[in-house]
Amino acid sequence: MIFRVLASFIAGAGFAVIFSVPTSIIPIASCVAALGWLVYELALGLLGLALSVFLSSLIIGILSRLIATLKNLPLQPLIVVGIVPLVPGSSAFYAMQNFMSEDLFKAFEYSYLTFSSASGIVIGLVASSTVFKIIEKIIELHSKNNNF
Amino acid sequence: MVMRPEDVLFMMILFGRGIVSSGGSATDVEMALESIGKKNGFKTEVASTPTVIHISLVELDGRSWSRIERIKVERPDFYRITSYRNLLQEYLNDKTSWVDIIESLKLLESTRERYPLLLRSFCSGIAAMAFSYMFGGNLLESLFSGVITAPIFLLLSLMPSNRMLIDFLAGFMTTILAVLCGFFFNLNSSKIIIGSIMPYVPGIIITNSILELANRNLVSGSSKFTEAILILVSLVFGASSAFFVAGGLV
Repeated sequence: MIFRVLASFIAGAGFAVIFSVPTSIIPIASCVAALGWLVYELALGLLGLALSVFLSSLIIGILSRLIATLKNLPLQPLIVVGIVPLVPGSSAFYAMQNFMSEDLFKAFEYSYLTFSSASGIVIGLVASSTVFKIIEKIIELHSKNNNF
Repeated sequence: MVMRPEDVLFMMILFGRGIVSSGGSATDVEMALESIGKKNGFKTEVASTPTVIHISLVELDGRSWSRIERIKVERPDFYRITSYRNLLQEYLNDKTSWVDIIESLKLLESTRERYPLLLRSFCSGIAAMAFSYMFGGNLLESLFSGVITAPIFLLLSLMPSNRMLIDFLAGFMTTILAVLCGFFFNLNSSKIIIGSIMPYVPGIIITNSILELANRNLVSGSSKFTEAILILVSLVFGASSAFFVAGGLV
C-alpha cells in the first residue's frame, strides 16, 4: 500500500505539470493527492467504493481549503490535483470499451462504478465546503471568546 | 481615470475569456464577473458555458450594456487560472489601477505554456507509470506504460489537429504498442493500456461536469458531460481499432 500511496504522489505531480500548476504548489498538491489515496485505500475494505471515495474527497476538500486559506494559495489546483488519483477514468474507459464490444452487462457495471465514484467525489467536495465553513465559524467564535 | 461601462465590460470579457479557455468552471467565471460588476455598481447577469459567455450590465436607471463572446476552448492551464485569480484579487482590493489590470490581462492572454513540451511529455510518462502501478500493474508493466506514453504525448501535442482525432490516435497508438509489448515480453497489456491512456481520459471533465450540474449550472454541466463522452468514444474507438489490427499482427 505504501508504494501505491507513493505512486499516487507521483501521479499527482505528473498531472500537475501537464495542467501547468504553478511550481510552488506542486509538492503540496501532490501530498494532498497521496493523502487522499491513503484514506481511500484504508476505507475501501470497510466502506465500499462510493463511501470511501466520498470520505477521501471530503478530506481532500477540507485539507485543500485549509491549506489555501492558511498559505493564501488558489483552491482549484489543490483540489484538482488532489482528486486526480480518485477520478474514475479507468472505469469510464472500460465502460465505453464494453459498450462498443456489446458486452452490456459489464458496460453497465463499469458505468455504475464510474457514476458512483464521480458522485462520491462531487458530494465529498460539496460537503467539504460546508464542513470547512463550520470549522471557520467555530474558530472565529473561539477566538472571540478568548479575546473577551 | 473613471471606468466607463464599456471598460467594465471589456475587463469582464478579458477575465471571462481567459478563465474559461484555461479550463475554469462556469461557476467560477460567473462569480468572478459578478464581483467586478458589483464593485462598479452594476446589476450584473452572467451566463457562462464552456464555449460562450453572455454578459449583461444594468445601471440603476435601467440602461444596459451586453456582450456575447465565443470562446475557443484550450487545455486546462492552472498557471493562467491562478494568475487570473491573483489579478482579480488585486483589482477588487484596489491594489492596482484598472488600466494596469487590463494591460496585465492582455499580456496574460498571450502567455505561452508554463512548462516546455518535453518536460510535460516526460511527466505524462511518469504519471502513466504511477497510474499503471496503482491499478495493479507490476513494475515492468508500469515501466512500459511510461515508456509508451511520453513519446506518444509529445507526438500528439505537436500535431495541429482536432481533439477527436488526437484522442482516437492516442487510443490507437497506445493500445497497439501495449499489445506488442505484452506479446513480446509476456506482460498483461491491459495494465499497460490503462496507465498510458490516463493522461487522455476525461476523468476531471466528468467530475467537473457533475459538480456543475450539482450547482444547477445545467447547460455548462451537460455540455461538459457531452464533451467527456465524445473524448471517451474517440479513445475507445482508437483502442478497439488497434485491438483489431494487433490481432492480425501478433
